Parts: sequence; C-alpha cells; structure tokens
Amino acid sequence: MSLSPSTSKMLSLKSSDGKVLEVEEHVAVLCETIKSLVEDGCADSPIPLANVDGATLGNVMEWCKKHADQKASADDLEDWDAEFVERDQGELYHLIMAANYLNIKGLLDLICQKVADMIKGKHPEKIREIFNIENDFTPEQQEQIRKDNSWAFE
Amino acid sequence: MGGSKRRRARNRDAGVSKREADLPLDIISIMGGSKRRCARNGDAGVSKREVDLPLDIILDILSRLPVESIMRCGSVCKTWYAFTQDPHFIKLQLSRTNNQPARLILQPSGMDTDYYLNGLVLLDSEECKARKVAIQEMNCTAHHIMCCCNGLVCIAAENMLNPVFICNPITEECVTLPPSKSKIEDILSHNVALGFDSSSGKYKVVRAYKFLNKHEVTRFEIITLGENKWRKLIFPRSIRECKIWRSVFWNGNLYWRISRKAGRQGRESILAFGLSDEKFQMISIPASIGARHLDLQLLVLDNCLTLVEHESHMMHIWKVTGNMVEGFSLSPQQTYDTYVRWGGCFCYAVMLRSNPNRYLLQVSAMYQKGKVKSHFVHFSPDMAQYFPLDITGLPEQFKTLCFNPSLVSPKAALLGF
Repeated sequence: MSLSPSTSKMLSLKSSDGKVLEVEEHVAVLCETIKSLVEDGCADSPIPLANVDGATLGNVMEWCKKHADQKASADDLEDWDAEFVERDQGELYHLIMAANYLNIKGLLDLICQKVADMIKGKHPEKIREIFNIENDFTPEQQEQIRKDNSWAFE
Repeated sequence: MGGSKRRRARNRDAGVSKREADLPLDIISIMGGSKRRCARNGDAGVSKREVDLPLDIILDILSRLPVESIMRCGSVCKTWYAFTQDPHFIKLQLSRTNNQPARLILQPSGMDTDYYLNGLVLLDSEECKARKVAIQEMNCTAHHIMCCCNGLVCIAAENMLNPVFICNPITEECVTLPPSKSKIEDILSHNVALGFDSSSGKYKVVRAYKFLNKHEVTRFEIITLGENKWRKLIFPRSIRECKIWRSVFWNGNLYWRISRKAGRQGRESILAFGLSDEKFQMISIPASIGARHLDLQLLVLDNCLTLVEHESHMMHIWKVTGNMVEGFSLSPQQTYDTYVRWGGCFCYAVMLRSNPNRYLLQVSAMYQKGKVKSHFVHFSPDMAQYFPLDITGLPEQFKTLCFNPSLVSPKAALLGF
C-alpha cells in the first residue's frame, strides 16, 4: 500500500468528546494503533478514539504532521519539538496518555524526557506535588532513607 | 538558608504521613502503586490536572533522570523507593546511560591516602561537584580502581591476587569475589577487568597477572559472577613478554593495550577478549604509532573505542572499529594542536568528550621532588583554549576512571542475576 503524501487519502478520527478530525492517512499512521487498523482494513470512518479528547488529539496530529513531513531536517524537527513541549503540566500529561494509547514512540519519548527535565533536581516534596503522590513513609523510615543517601539531598 | 527550609519540609512530610497512615492498602493498587493525595489547599497545580500517569510511564520518566535525582526520588514514597531497587527499572536506567553524562571516579594517591583511607571520590564534572564515597572493604594504599562496566567498578591490589572487589560508587554497595586458590606470592603485576556478557546476561571478571617463577610468567584467569571458581585462560603466546595496561570494556569485549619491549617492531598492539566465546584476538596498531615512543591511551570516548596518542603538543585520536568476527581496524579521527609542549613533569590524559568541541583532560604536574598535583581542565580545540575546572574537595593526587553511573547491584551481579 502506498502511503506517499500525494496519494494519501483522508482518515476521520473521532475523539472521546465527539470531535471529528480529518487527517491525511500518511500522517495518522504515525500512530501505530491507527496503522494496524488501516493495515487490517478495520479503519472504519470515523475511527473512534475513546481515550483521547479533541484538544489533545489536535495536538497529537499537529506533531504527527510535522514528523510525517519528509522535507523537515533533523535540526528543524529538534527545534520544533522543543517548542512543541512548552506546555503546562496538564497538557503534557494528556499528551503522554494519548501517545501511550495511540502507540507513538517518538512522541512518548519526547514528552517523557520533558517531564524528566521538569523534575530533575527537584526536592521530593515538590515531586510529590507534581505527581500527586502521598508520602507513605513513617518519619523514622524517611529519616533512614535520607541518612543512607544524604549526599543525594545536598 | 536552604538547610532550614529543607528541615521544615521534612517535618511537614512527617505530619502528612502520620495522618494518612491508616488509609486502606487497596488504595495503593487502585492508584497504580502510589497513594495519590487529594488536592491540598492552595495547590493549584494539582487540582488543575486530572490525569494520573500509569506506573510504566512513571518508570520511563524516572529512568531518564541522573542517578542522583533517581536516588532522591526514592524518598518520594514506598513504591518509588522499591523502583530504585527493582531489576527491571535498573535495566531500563542502564539502557539510557549513554544519554546521561558520564561521571569520574577518583582514587586518591600519594599524600592524601590517610584522609581518604577507604574512600574514593565521585566527581560530576559538569556540575563541578565532588563527594567522598566510602567503600568500607577498601584500603586506598593497597587497592586500586581498575576497570568499569555498567556503573560497577572493579578494585584490586596490584601485587596480590586476593581480594578483588566489585562496587557501585553510587549505592556504595560492595562485594568481594571468591578468592583465587593460587598460592603464588611474588606477584609483579595484576590487572583486573570487568565486563558484561550479554549472551549469558552475566558479568565476568578477567585478570592478567605476572609472577616470578625463575622466569617471569604471565597468566590469565576468568571468573563468571555467580560461579565460585577462577578458570585459567589460554592466551596468545606472543604477548608473554609484553606489558599489559589497564583494560576497558566496550561492546561486549574487553580490551587491553599491550606494549612490547622497546626497539621491537610493532611495539604497540591491542588485545581483545570476547566475553561470550572467551577467545582472544590481537589488534595491530600501525607501526608508525608505536615507533614514535609516545604516550598512548586506550579508552571509550563518545561510545567508541578510542586510542589517543600524545605527541609533544599534538593530540591524535584514532577510532577502533570492527568486531571479533570480521576483525578490527584503526582509523584516524582527529588531530589537534594542544598548544602546550607536554612531557617531563607535565602530562595529561583525556577523560571524556563533553561536547563535540570540548574534551575533559586530567592534567598532572610535578611541582616538587616527587610531588604531583592533578586537576581537571576543559580543552576546546577549535578555540585553542583551556578552561580549568574549579572543584572543591579534590585530593592533590589521584587516578581516575570514567564511568556511566547506574544502580546495578554488585550483590545481584555476584549471585549471577
């Protein structure tokens, strides 16, 4: 099957909140999940994507479109990606969930790295806030861990 | 001050954990391992976001952090603490170490060994931060750092076969290998190498030693971690009278630089050892390199096996490519003018390449009879400039190994995991 831009047909994707997005097939197949549907001939129109909301789907497809563009150079993509991930935490998390669900390794890697850069060097309490995690250590355990790895807190 | 701020945060943590201690355990499983807390007053960041990331994504994110940050994340909650010791996570982190900045491990020598008796110094050259690492089993005056692989450092004495230690400078965990049964005493040199055999998933330690038995005798031995016996290895006869330098691990093989006695043709060569098939192979170095009687250095630079040739003010970099099946070859990579006439009591060694135009060098100078002082500089060949690194807590004199920090457990490696 030819997926070249000139012959690419359009696919309709339907988000969890009912928005329908028309996307060129060669762009949409950057999502492995959609690619296998297309290859299996199961790409009913519109393809329902129950786990991705419309705004996030728009963002994901914007990334796919850029990365499907054969004219984009590696440097160009890197700059573009750096700008693409300049978003608030909520948006990043939605993008991670979508990239995970749609199975887009490149996008997942990009956002995971961005979140890693965000928490690099942060104090555990700040990280708990970012990930919304409860501290379940007893004060004694907490003290022990800090003692064992005291250097990591300097 | 930062300190008091931290202390306050700690007290607050303690309070929270007490209050929440009675929560039923099944919440942990519902929330994907970690207890999620309710949005707290004034915590706009939390209430705004409604998704919680699945565990495998959190692992993916954490594995991309520098090891110090990962260790710090261990105190976030019990689940994350468990991650830092989980073999699957440790492997994931290891698979990314090539994208993480390398660290240096320093062994104090000379006058400083009293202060550092059982300690090494771990250096983050990007942040210019050094800290002492205590290896209880080690005695700095007798034991030396010899080889690194997957964040593990191999330590042994130069004139004794036992003990051989494997330690992880990040976790400070250290194990002693099963002793050699050999009764040989007059050890002239002892070189221990550590590597990972991906075909069996096991670590192997290979050592080369020379001893006096009327004549000088060379011997190679190997032990697979998880087994309890050293086995003798058959090695090429041609290297019996050669000097064997420190080894490096690269791409599933161990490599030693080998020097023949002066005046011989093809003075320098590289000995390769395949960790899966346990066979040796010689890699010849063009005679022109050996003939110059210069200082050579074999190391892994930018994930490539590299030979650096120091010739007065010139630095030549050669790349070793190939594999055990098709053979190896050397190709010239770069030649730089260092604008410094090295030699005599003034020398340097390449540590790592921190970016395409910046090398980290260890520079050593003898400033008094026998007194040597070492320090680190960044060398930018394109700007022809040196930038000394201002690092507090460095010993005066030291030996250095470059390694990729990991959380690999020497204990697990010793058990053959």
